[in-house]
Amino acid sequence: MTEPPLGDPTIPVRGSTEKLVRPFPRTSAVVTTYDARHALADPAAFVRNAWRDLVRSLAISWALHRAGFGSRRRAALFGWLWLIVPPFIAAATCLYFQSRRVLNGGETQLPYALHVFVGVVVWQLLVDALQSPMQQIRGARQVVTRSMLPHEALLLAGLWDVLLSAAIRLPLIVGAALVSGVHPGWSVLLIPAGLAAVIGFGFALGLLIAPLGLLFDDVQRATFLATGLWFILTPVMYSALPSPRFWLNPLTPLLETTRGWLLAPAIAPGFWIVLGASALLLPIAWLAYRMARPHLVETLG
Amino acid sequence: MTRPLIGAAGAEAAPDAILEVRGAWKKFCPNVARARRYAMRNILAELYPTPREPRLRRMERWALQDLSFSVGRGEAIAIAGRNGAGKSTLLKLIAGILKPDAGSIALYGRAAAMLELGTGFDPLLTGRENVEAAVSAFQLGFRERGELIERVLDFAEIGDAFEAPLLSYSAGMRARLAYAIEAHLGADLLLIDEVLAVGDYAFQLKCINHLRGHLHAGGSLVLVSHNVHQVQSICDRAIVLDRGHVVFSGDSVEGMTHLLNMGRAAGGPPERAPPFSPIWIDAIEIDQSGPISVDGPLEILVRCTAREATEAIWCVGICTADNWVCITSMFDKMRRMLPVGESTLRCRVPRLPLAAGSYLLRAAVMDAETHYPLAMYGHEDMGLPFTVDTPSDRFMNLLLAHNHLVQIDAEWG
Repeated sequence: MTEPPLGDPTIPVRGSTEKLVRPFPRTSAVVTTYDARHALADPAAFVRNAWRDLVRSLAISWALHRAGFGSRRRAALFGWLWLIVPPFIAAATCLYFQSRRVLNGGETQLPYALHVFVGVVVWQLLVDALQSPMQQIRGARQVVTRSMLPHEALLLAGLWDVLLSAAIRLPLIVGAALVSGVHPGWSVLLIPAGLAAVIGFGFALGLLIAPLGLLFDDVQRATFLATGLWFILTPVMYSALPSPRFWLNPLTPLLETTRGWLLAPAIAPGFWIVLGASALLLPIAWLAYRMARPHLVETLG
Repeated sequence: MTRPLIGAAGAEAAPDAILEVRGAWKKFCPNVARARRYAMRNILAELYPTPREPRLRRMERWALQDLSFSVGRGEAIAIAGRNGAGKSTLLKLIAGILKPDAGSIALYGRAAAMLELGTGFDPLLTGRENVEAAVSAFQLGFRERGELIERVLDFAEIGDAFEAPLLSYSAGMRARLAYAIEAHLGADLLLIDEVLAVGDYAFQLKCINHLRGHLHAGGSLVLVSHNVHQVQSICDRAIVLDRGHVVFSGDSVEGMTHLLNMGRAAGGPPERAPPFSPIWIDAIEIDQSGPISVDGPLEILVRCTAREATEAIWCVGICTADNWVCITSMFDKMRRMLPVGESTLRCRVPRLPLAAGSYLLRAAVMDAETHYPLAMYGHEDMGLPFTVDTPSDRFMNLLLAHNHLVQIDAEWG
């Protein structure tokens, strides 16, 4: 028996969209093909199709984000209050523990309460971004298994949700600084970029573990445990120690830099490395998710 | 057995094809834990540029085997088959939701999939908000978008409920709205999976008329349906699947006959005995020699088997040959204790008032107390066919010519 051909030269590659040579008067005719070839059989076509779906998903994701926001607002009594309350509670708790000498936060650049407050805001955004991809796909199980909607639309809708919560929390940081007697410098304008870096880092990581998490529930449980441990290792409630081992935590430079921007435009060591790694990780994680997508859908239903 | 090929191979595409399925294979693993492990391996395998020839691993089965067909512009094709035949899997492959394990699918135009009506609807949002979210996939101007939403509203006929949250909608209203959205997105090819079974008769008729209009305008359709009436009224061709194989491909009427015959041939305990049912019907028989004639007697036997002694009542029904209309049902309301093992129930119609023609017999055994059906025969698939002969009579010919079903005695003043 001869070897089977890996592709039919008479049809375009999987998922590709090309102008049709043959006339089809009804619509702008496009050819889409799905076949068994692996994603990397034609990397250029794979990336081109991924980009096409991403562009197509922008408008859809915005509509989904708006619809989801409206829906959640109707189902909740206190709405945005849930975005605001946790950092206040965390700051108050830490202050109490410190006054009782249960917790030693060490010497902090900012007033301790403000230090904790900003730390919790940043940490929450990281966790939201980390969990967003898995939550979005799990929550839309019916959609991903029964509709032609690009998954990017769901993932981006989740990202817009996290960015919105960052936008709501941002004025709180400035307000808390003023209340604490800290007068922010011009570098406060950089804080949105710092929060975006944290969200980008968290989202890339979340996207990378999403295929595993969607296949195996253990991964989700392990993620909860790992984030708990990570919280302890991150200088949210205490000041960053000068030990190089401590700075191996990739969140530390992002958190310290963002927090520091309330006072001065200083960059913590390792900030650019983490930022660069995140920028590299994000497209890799996205393309890896696209490779996994059809196999995930099979197991989802 | 045909060998699965990774890429597509085969003849040149038909010049007016809108869909081409070439040598499509798809496997599945019914074991959840193993399926996830296999999925993990499949994901890692995507990193290799050269795939291996697909083979079944432990506990895997073929859901589809070597499917090839094409759909032309303005053509409607029905995909029929019993549960588990692979119909929905095929539709998901065409929609690009699943990836074939071998072969290829080429779409020459835009497709819209209606695999389940109302997928993605948010119950807390109004009908209008849900429609706005659904049409966002299309880069329309403000005015075009408004017009599209109005057209959807007109088609769905849900009136003021359009501004109410979806959770206040009935299932039929949701189905109307969901169908209206997909129907107005201007796709070249509609992929519909049993969704026309939802909603009332008026809605189904409206959908059928819409689909006929879509076909007339040059659109195409792939319809998964068991419904003989819908398939025959919409589709030109049919493909009948059985355990992932194509067992029939051709004219839709012949396809439905094939499907109904498959149901009849597959009778007996495995098909008719739900896993927890205490009883099933093995067969219906007609216990008389010679032809069945108009106004003549009819002796019916129903043979059933009980797993456990059951007190039951039973009934026999007579349907038109297309299984679409049940002409009458005769109930034996006397409670009978059916012992473990085989039993035979007997029914005699002393004077059959049917007009000459072909009919189907169906039967059901029900719980004596609750009247809940325990076993059914001829309800979901084909019952026992029989023919009522006619004497050569001018009045009888008139009845035949006008498709009369019954003859009722009358007294004339």
